[in-house]
Order: sequence, then C-alpha cells, then structure tokens
Amino acid sequence: MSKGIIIASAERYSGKSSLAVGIGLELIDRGFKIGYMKPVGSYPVRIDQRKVDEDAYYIANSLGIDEELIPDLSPFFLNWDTLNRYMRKRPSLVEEKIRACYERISQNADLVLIEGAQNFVHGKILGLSAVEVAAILEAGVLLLDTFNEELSVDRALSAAEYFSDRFLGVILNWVPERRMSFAENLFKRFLEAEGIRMLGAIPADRILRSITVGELAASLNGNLICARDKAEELVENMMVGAMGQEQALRLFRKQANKVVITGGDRPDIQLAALETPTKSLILTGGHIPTPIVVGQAEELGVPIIVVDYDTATAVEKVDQAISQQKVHHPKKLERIRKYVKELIDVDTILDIMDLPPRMSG
Amino acid sequence: MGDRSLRSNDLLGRAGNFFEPKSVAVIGASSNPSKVGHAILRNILDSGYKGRVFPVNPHSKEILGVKAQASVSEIPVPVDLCVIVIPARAVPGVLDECGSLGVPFCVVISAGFKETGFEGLKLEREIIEIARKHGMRVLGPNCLGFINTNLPINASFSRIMPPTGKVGMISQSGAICTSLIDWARSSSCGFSKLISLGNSCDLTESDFVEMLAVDKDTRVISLYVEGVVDGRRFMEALSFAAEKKPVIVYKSGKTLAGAKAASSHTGSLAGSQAAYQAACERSGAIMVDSLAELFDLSRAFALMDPPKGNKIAILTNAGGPGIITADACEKAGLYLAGLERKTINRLKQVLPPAAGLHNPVDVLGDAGAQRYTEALEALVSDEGVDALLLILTPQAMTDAVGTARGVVNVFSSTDKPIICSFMGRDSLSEAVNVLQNGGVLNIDYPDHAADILGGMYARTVLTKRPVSVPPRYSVDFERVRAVILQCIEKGMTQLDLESCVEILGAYGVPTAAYHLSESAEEAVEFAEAIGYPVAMKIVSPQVLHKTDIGGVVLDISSSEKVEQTFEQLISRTRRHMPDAEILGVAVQKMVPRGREIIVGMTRDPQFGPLLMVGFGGIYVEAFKDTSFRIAPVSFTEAASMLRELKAFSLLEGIRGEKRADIESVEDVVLRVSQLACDHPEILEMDINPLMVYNAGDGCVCVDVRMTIGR
Repeated sequence: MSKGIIIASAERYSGKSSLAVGIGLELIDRGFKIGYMKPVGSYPVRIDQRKVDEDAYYIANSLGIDEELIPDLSPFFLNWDTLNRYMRKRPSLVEEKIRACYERISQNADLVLIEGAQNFVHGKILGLSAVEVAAILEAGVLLLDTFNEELSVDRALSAAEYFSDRFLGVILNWVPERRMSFAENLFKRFLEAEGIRMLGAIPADRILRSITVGELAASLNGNLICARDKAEELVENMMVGAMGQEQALRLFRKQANKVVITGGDRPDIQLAALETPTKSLILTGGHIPTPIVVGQAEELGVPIIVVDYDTATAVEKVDQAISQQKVHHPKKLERIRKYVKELIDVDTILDIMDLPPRMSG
Repeated sequence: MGDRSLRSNDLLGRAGNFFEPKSVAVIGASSNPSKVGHAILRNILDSGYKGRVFPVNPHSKEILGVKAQASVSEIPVPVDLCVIVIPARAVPGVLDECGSLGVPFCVVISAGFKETGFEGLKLEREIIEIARKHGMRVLGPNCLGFINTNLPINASFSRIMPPTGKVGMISQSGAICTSLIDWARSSSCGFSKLISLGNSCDLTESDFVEMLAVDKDTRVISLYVEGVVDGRRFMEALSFAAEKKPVIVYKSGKTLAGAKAASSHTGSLAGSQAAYQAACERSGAIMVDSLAELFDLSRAFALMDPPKGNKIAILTNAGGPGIITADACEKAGLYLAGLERKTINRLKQVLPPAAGLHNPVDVLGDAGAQRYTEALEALVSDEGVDALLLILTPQAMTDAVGTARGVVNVFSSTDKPIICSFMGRDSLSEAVNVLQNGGVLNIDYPDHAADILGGMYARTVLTKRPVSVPPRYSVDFERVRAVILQCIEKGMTQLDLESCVEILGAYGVPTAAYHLSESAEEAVEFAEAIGYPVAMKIVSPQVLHKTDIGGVVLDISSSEKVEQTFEQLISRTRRHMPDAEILGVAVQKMVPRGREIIVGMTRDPQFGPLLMVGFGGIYVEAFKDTSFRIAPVSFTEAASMLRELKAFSLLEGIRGEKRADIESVEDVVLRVSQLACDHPEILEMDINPLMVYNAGDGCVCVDVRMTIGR
C-alpha cells in the first residue's frame, strides 16, 4: 500500500503548505513518522549549495525532515526560465527521478505528504500534474478548495471524477464564519450522497492570511525607522489614508490589525492611524515623518516603514505581498494546528491510508 | 475623577503661590546676553519684581549684578519658583533636586522634549514622573514662561512687558504671546496674567483656566489652543470659569491644511472642530474664528460688561458705514433698536432737519463734537437700547478729538457698552488715544465692531441659559453589554444588523421589525407572517452603501415579488461586488414614508461621544444640515440640537403640512446619548434614516450601523 497523499487545489494560494504542516504536525503528535515533498517547486533557494523550494524547505524543517533529504524535497521547478527551457526541450527521466526522491523520503516514513503544484493541472509539461504524480507514486489525492459559494461543489464533483480511484476527499478552506454550518451540513451531506468524502472545513481566519511587518518592509524595499522590535507582528488588512483627519479616524476604527498606507507628509492621518488598532504605518513618497509622530509610534510600538513608492504603487505591492504570504510564523502555525486538530477528520484519513491509530510516543 | 478634582482644588488653593512667588531661582542663568538664560534673568530683574532672585550657574560668581549660586541646594532660603533654562538632558536631574528641596513650582523653558522624537518623549515622561513623585507642579517644557503684571514679574523670555490690565491670556503658542503683548502696548490693552503652555506635560490649559477663574485681577480669560490635553477635563474647567467670567476660545487647525500643520506641531489628535464647538457651547465659553476677534473681544470684556439685550443703536456721521454696520449687526445676531418717541424728540432738538432720526442715527457729515455727544446722550438714555456703536468718518468739519472726549464722558456715566469705530488712522490717532485713555474700545472697522458686540451679547445669552440635566432612562444595560462583548470576542469591528437592532431595542429606540433570511422561501415565510408590503435589503459586511448597488427594494406586496426580489438582490450584489460575503437578505415590515432624520454618534478622541442630528436619508450628504453636542445631553440640549437645523421648519410643518413628532426624535437623541455614555466600546453609530411621523405617531429607525472597539 502506498504511503503518499497529494494535497491538490484548483487555484493557487489555497493554503496547501499550511495544511501540509498542520496535518503533518498532528500526525507526528499521534506518533507517526512523516515524510514531505513538493515535486514541482516555484521559488528556488540555495541551502548549502543544494537547490530547494523556499516553502518546501521551511515546511520540511517544521516537520523535522532530515537535512540529508533536502535535494529530494523539490526535484523540479517551474518558473519563467525553466519553462522556456522545457518548452525547447522536455526533460528526460522525470518519472525515474521523482520515484527515486520519493523512495528516499518515504523510507523512514509512515506517510508522505506531497504538496501539489500551483493547481492540479500545473506541472503537466513535465508529466507531473497531480493526476500523473498520483499514478507514478500510487498516491491518493486530497482536494483543498478555497470556499466559493457557486464553484466549490462543482470543483469537488469534477475532482472526484478526474482523480477517480485515487481521490480521497475534499477539505474546504477559507469558509466565512457564517457559512461554516452550511459547509458542515448541507454541503457535506450532498457530497456524501454522491459518494465523496468531506474531510473538514477550515474557517476564514485573517491570521492565516496575514503577513509580518518585517516581510512587508522587505517586499516594499522599505526602511523600518522605529519600533523595530515589532517587525514580527502580523498584519491582516490594509487601509489607505488620503482624507481629512476626522474621516480617517472613522474609517480606521472599522478595521483592526491593519497597516495604514499614507503620505509621509500627512501627520494628521498618521496620528489618526495611531489612535486606532494599527500594526504598522507605511509612509510613501520617501518623506521622513515629523519627529513627534515617530516618537509616538515608537512609544506605542507601531513600526513605521518609509518607502520611496507613491501611495498607489505601495498599495499594489502590499496587496500582492498579503496574497502571497507564507505560513512561516509561529502564530499562524499554532492556528492551523488548532484547526486541523478540531476540524479535520484525521481519523478517517488514517483509516483510508490503512494506518491503525497509535498513541503518541 | 474624584482624585483629579482634588488635585485641581489643591492647585487652586495654591494658585497665588505660582503667580506670586516670594523667591525665584533661574537655573541656567547666564551672563552671555545671547543666551535665553540671560534674557530670563534680565526680564525678571527689569520687570520690577520685588522678591528675591537667585541666578544658578556653577561657572559664574555673579550675573547681572546678582550673586550666582552653584546649585539650587545652596540657596539659603526656600525657593517658591524655579525657572529652568538648561539643555533638555540635564533637566530631569535638576528637577529632581528642586523636588527634593520642596520647591512647589517649576517652569521649564528648555526645548528638546516630545517635539523632537522618541528620546525627547522619554525625557518628558521622566519629568512628569519626577514632578508627581515630589508633588511639584511644572509649566512647560518648551515654553516662553509666564508674566504676572500685577505682582509684577516677567518670568518669560518676552523682552517687553504688557501693560497691566484685566485680560488673562493662556496660549499654546509662545510666539503668539509675544505678538499679543506688542499689539497690546499700542492699543492700551492690558493683561493680568500671560501663560505660554509649551508641551503641557503637567500643568495644562485646564489648570490655568481654573486658576484664572479665581484670580481677582482677571476679568476675562482668553485662550489660544491647537489641541487640548484632556477634552473632558477642559470642559469642566471652562464651565467652572465661565460661571464667573467670560471665557473666549480660539482653536486653530480647523481645515484640512490647518489640521495637518497642527498635527506636526503638537503631535496630538486635535479632535474635530464640531467637538470643540460643542464643548464651548456646553461649557458656556465663547468660541471665536480669528485671532483679531480673540484679541478685540478680550479687550471689550476687559473694559465693559456685556449688554443686557441685543437691541443696538448705531450713531454715525455718514450713511454708508451705517448700512455696513446694520448688515453686520444682523449677521452677528443683533437687532437695531426701535427708538422711543421721547428719544426721537430729543434727537430732533439737537440734530439738523436733514439728519437721520431713526436707527442708524445719522448726525451728518458736518457734525461737530457737541452734536455727536448730545445725540449719544439721547440714545444712551433710551430704555430700548442695550448697547451702542458709534461710527466716525474724518470729514472736513469733523472734530474727532472733541467727539472722543464727549464719548469718554458719556461712557463713564453709563453701564451700557459703547464701542467706537473711528474709521481711519492717520488723522485720527490723537482721537483714538483719547478714547483708549478713557477706557473706550475703538475698533478700526465698523463691521468688525459689530462682530465684537455680537460676541459680547453671546456671553449674555450663555449666562441666561436655563440649567438642565441629562435624563436617565430605565434600559437593559446588561443585554447590550453582552452583545458587545460577544462581538468583540469574535474580533468584529462593524456590528451586524441583528446586533445593532438588539442594542437599540434594549435602549428603547424603536426599530422596524425584520428577519434575516438565507433563502427565498424563508423570506416569503416571514413576509407572509408580518404582512405586506415589505422592504428587502441585502446584508453583507462589505456593502456599506446599499442603495449604490440597488441593494434596497421597497414596497414589495406579494410572495412572488418577494421571491423575485431575493434573487435580484443576490445577483446585483454578486455583479457589483463579487467578493462580498453575503449573509442573507433582511425582510422588513414596510414602514410608511415620513420625514427622514439621521441621528449619529462619533467618539471624539478628545471630548468623547459627539452626537449629531441632521436631515437624513440620501440628503445628509447633499445638505450637510447637521448639529452637534457632546453626550450626555439634557432635554434642553436635545431640543436645541433640532432647532439649530436650517431645515427645522420642515419638522414643524410648512405650507399646511402637519407638525412632525419632534418629541419622539428628541427622545431618540437622549436614548442614544445614554447608550453612547454607558458603552464606551461603541465608537461610531449612525441611525439613518430615522423615519419621523406626524405629531403623536412617533418615529422608527429603519437602518443602523455601529462600529465597536476598545
């Protein structure tokens, strides 16, 4: 019996990495040995001269995967330059390579979590789309779907048909609080009547889509000028300040844990932001703010990021950074572990994989 | 609060010690004339101060002929006041030394504190700690100091002393103090006390308002502020003072540009202009719109009591200025008095036949001093005249100096205010001197003179106001508390419709019955139960302006229509805002159309809950016809909020329309006021529209939004 589970999705940024860490850690808690790989990586980094996907490396670390296995974690990459290369000449021996990596990873593991590429057709050019990886490694496929009122049900039905015998079931992610009962009841009953397992629903939790102040500063090439010790704080929302002080105050009260983007020459808006729950200020136009504002921000522990961009560009960059944030934060990790423990049907997953329950050791 | 009022009472008892020290040390006194430490010492010595002065400087033996001390500790007698002019970093150490010696008051002139950034802010916090530890009170830092012309002492670095007088001036800007002193010297306006607040780290504008309120030499309190330290305390201080004497407030930073400038200057959220206005209104202080008005109105109150009423007589030697002044009077809330028959007869006797005998009274261009004076006497003795504006233009036959003498004579024998406007400067300076020396206020421009008289009359109105207290309704406090805590727990900042309606219901604000339905069938079921017609609205936290996306449908009168509308609302929202989270569709009993009012609340960073009423629905943004008060409001205040609206007559009913149920709106305002005070977690609230029906039929809240937070 195979030990592999592919976590696949229909859209990118669906939370596959988070779910892999969450399920992995839960199983480790239950006394299992866990392997992990991501056959098609996106963002290569070099660790001791060994090329590895940035996310995959972090997740492997969180799961305590042996350093020796780093070169096996993400054997292929699809990005701008490799894609051009592969379009001129398809690589050979892909199957053999994947199988060899998987064998080394699975050697000492009870179960291997395999993170799918961006969506479940991605990787086709290499012969490594989800359905192909599943066939090569004889792995099961789990669909992680970002909840959509109209689309989720069709995606689940299609995935079940497409992956056929290898399909394990569906997990919904980012379900609005108010729709949780819909997901857990009507939606689940419907799928089960169709013979599809519904293995859990994770609520929309802004913390899971948050980004640290430090990451924000880095993605904006910005300069953190105060409260540097708060660079690890998580930002969930963004608001733009370009109005009068009173209107700004009213607006800023409507959202907590936010970053406020405004001109460096708008001390009135900066003060309004500091009056409300704000995690960071991004000041545009390269203006250094007035010392009196910096003093207050320092005292309140709100980091100020000074950037050279104009406000419109900064908004675009922050938006991008928030949508591509990573699971790399203890607070997010803690959250996802909690959701897996409480809301994901891990017992059924173990049952399907023919792994009898163990007591943690 | 108890603790604070104790502290301020304690301060009031010792106010005399602050303004009238028997001994003063200048720490950082210098023999170098280019240093501030030199200027301060020189100013104290030059001001005629009779107490003992101790320059403190370890590097000097003697400064400006006075023996210098190496430190405060070496001063042989107890010191009442230390003026500190040393680099910021050294201030905490010296302050601690002063505190240990039992020095009760210090003035920190030095800059380099919160205005310079975080390090400075920490230094300033340190100062506050030290002051609290020793029970010592501190003015400043980063200020000009203070002047008491009555003692006298000039403990500031203003080179010149203002004349002695009755105006107590408190200013957040030291520079404005210096200019006011300069103006005062040329207009013979005198000050009793002048205080430059600086960063207000310990002693604040509120402390000084209270100190000047009990100061026997101060007749009027004049304030220039950019922001205040504690809005609620400021209101208490203003009320305390305004009961005893006129208080005039000029607050800058009203516009977007001004607020920007103020923010980088003071580093505090100023609070809204409407809140300052409401705070002054509540406290009985007079708010002015310009520095000129602040200065001139202060002069007016220093010289005269306010008029008993708003009936004004204008006396002029030319028609044009009379018309200008009549216009200005009306704008300032004053009326031209109808003159008594006996006054007109008297005027007939002293004026030529061509003269204007009715208000404005025109003595004609060839009037000399006698004609002016006799006419003035006639008007002053008219029972129906409360105050007078005397205008003089310099014409060929004009005897300005003689007229001025006549005015001074009449002025000294009446308790009615007289303001002159001798229009011109070059040929009138001698006459103006006569007026000023005689204690008569002269204002260059006659329309501005009318504004000043209007400001004086505002004081009369304020002192005659009835006293009324906010009511307390019996409400379900606990229920609201539970709803709010639950929402905060969930991390919500904007409340959903259900919670809003529950909150309003608990405080007795009538709301239209509604049901949040998740399916068309559910919507139909509810509609059938409450009866047609119904209104339907999309409910989504992201859809703030429902009408903008066609998210509200009214007057639906059948089950088929309800079903259709349900689908329509969902697809409209999906199309306009594909990412909006749809919670369902609210089905509401269709309320009949009425007059639409908005009742709102925003929590001002300085003054707390600021209530607003205005004409609502979609008109609120077009007309901006709104009025504000700070909660809690009394019956009288709720009533006057509505009556201040420009379109109030719409509620009273015009052209045959019936009177609206105004009392029911006042009731809602009072309940919202109590809600806002009881639950500080509610930061913003808008009831819009509140549908108001004809008298006796009440009103009902149709839609509501609330923002919460800690």
